[in-house]
Amino acid sequence: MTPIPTTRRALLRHRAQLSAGAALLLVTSACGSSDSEGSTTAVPDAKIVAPVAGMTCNEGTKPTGDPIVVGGSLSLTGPLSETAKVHEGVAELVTKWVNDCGGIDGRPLKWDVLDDQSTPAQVASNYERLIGEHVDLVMGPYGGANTLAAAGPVTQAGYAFPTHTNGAPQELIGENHFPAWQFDGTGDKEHMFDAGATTLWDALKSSGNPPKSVFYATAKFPTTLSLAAAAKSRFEKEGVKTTGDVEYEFGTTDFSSIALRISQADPDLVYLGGLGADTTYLYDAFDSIGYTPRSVFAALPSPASLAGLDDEVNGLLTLSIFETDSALGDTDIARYFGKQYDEVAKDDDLFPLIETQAAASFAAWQILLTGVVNAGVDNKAIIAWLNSNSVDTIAGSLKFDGYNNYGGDINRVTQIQDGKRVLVWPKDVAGGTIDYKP
Amino acid sequence: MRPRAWIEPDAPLLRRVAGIVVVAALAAVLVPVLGSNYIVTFSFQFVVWVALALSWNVFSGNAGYPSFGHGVFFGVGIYATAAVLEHTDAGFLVAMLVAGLAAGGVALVVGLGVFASPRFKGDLFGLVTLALAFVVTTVVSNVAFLDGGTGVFVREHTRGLWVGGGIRHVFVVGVALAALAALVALATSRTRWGTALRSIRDEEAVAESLGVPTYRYKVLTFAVSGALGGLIGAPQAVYLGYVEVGAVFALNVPLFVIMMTILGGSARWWGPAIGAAAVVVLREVLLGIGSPELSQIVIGVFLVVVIAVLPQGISGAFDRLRQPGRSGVRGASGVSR
Repeated sequence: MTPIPTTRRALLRHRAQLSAGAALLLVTSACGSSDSEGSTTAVPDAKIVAPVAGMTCNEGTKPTGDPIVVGGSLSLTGPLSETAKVHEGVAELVTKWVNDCGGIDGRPLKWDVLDDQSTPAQVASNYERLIGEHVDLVMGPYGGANTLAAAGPVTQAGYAFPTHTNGAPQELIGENHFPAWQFDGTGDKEHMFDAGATTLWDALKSSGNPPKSVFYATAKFPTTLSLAAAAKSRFEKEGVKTTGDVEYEFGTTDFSSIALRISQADPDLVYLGGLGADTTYLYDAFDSIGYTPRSVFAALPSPASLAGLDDEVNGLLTLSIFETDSALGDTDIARYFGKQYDEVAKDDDLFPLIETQAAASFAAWQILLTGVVNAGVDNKAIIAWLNSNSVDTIAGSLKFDGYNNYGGDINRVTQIQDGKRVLVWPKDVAGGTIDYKP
Repeated sequence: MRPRAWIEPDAPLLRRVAGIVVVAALAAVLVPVLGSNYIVTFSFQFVVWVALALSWNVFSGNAGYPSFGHGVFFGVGIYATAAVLEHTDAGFLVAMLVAGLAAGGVALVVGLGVFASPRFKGDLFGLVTLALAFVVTTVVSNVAFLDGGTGVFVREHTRGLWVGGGIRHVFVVGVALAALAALVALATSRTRWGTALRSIRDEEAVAESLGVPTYRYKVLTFAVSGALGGLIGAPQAVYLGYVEVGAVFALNVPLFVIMMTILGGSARWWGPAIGAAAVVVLREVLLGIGSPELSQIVIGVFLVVVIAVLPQGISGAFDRLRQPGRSGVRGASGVSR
């Protein structure tokens, strides 16, 4: 920075410097980076099938007529862009897939996306704009705050509102809300995260060596706080001792003091209620003090951050709604999605792995398309149909009959085993068994 | 300095006051009646940025103390509104007043401390206001009454309130607050208050030696600027429907406010409004080009080009066109146009 200007020339120079700084920040915020290392999910010989049940795939038939326009807002620039680009990639993929299948009732599908620059205020404006342009249907944005910002105009305009990653499920949207990432809506809103905690506990218990002590380190972020609170309550009910409980600011990169406290407590399980690269930072901090945790559960890590840690995270547990090597991945639709996603990942420089984000994104599209296939391009009819039927998606069969249109919890437990992600619980969809000896 | 009345009520001033009131009244009536939901939503964002840019300039532009903390006052206003609506039965007007008072109070406390030391000038002042964002963010994300990290769903607390009746109602509040910010900005251009602030910007030591109570002016004006930022946070809380720390206290708010002010020109009271209009409209137009990265780069380059070609901002160019050969920048005792 420069000293305060005292003359006109200095004032103007000072303004120019401020402007250049602001411009540079805008430019750098527009240019995200992407780690494209990791394992591929491709199934090279997968054949094209319709993306949803009840739809016919007429490969080679070119769709004609007015397109069915689906509008959406995504954070294509700004701090949320890294993950939002996964949803953009899936949207492009699905649009091409439907059109390769001859469209819906012969009409092509068109995806119309606007960038919200990672700001909820722009999200609401973007949906008003799309609605004003008379898009036929809408797809939800990425993230809890953005989803709730969009919910106002979308609900008011009477559109069906499929959402892929609403991390604030307890905040009521309405009967037009069709969430793909489902938490337990069968009870009241205060207990929506309890079923997920039970799934985690059951997974640990199934190993025969459930933890006797847990240290909680949780990011101050709505979803992670809710997940951690439910897990803690469940574990304590099971008699598991809490050896520490810290909350850290969202965006923290220095985990050294947390790592030190964990090492002193030396719990059976470290519950990391973190997001994105938090796991990487925590393991770096463990490395620097020479501590090896007995076991770690990370709530919402980015797949790239886990892949980057290689063997170090063997045995780590995490939440996921889908893994390719599980019963959920053993369908023609999942195989073709895997093949297509691999190509999109290469083209768009995305991490080539399908887990919660990509799977929820595709599931949201499946919800919307199933509604269209069964009720036509009519939002009122789609809302009515989806409210009284279940939808088969890549993440399982979804219902919309509980609180805020959530059905049953679909969060599952994945473990890193020999460098691979294996869905280990619940049993009915698992691709392997948990290996847990803290 | 020539002794002057606090306000010099002349015909041009009265005309400008009337102009602001008439434009605001027309906007408050015509936009909600004639505009689509999208137009009203866009217009609301427009007036929010206009109000923020004008209120930032009231202190930072006039006094030459660039603040990076205006987003904090805006955020305090948002959270104060959310807290009042969530925890009390008080209506939106009370929440809005609390928002203004809370943000103004924070600015007052900071100003009382920071301006007491001559060390906190220029860059150091900027750093302090930047640090303020981290302090307030930490407080809000740790105090359960305000947020506690879980976010606040404002929408469920505005059902049944007039302001919760849709974007048109929110827009009317936004227009009224933008008009208030414009009136305050106008006041700084025509009063002894504004002259004192500009004397601080041009040469603070000289102003002090000439008897300008610089400390008092700085503290009070910073508080007024903060209060205006907080007030506009009230309708923003309703508009967003759900507020969480990461989104509310994002650093892009002060960044955009500064950019808008520089673009429009801070030497005229209305310059920041022009800058805000230019950025908001440009941003919206560029949304349609289909390349989000390119659109942000275009905005950045546009800013640099405007500064290079029009060092006094867009409002300076207006003046040059109107009165060729006349410098647009005021002297220490000059009156801003």
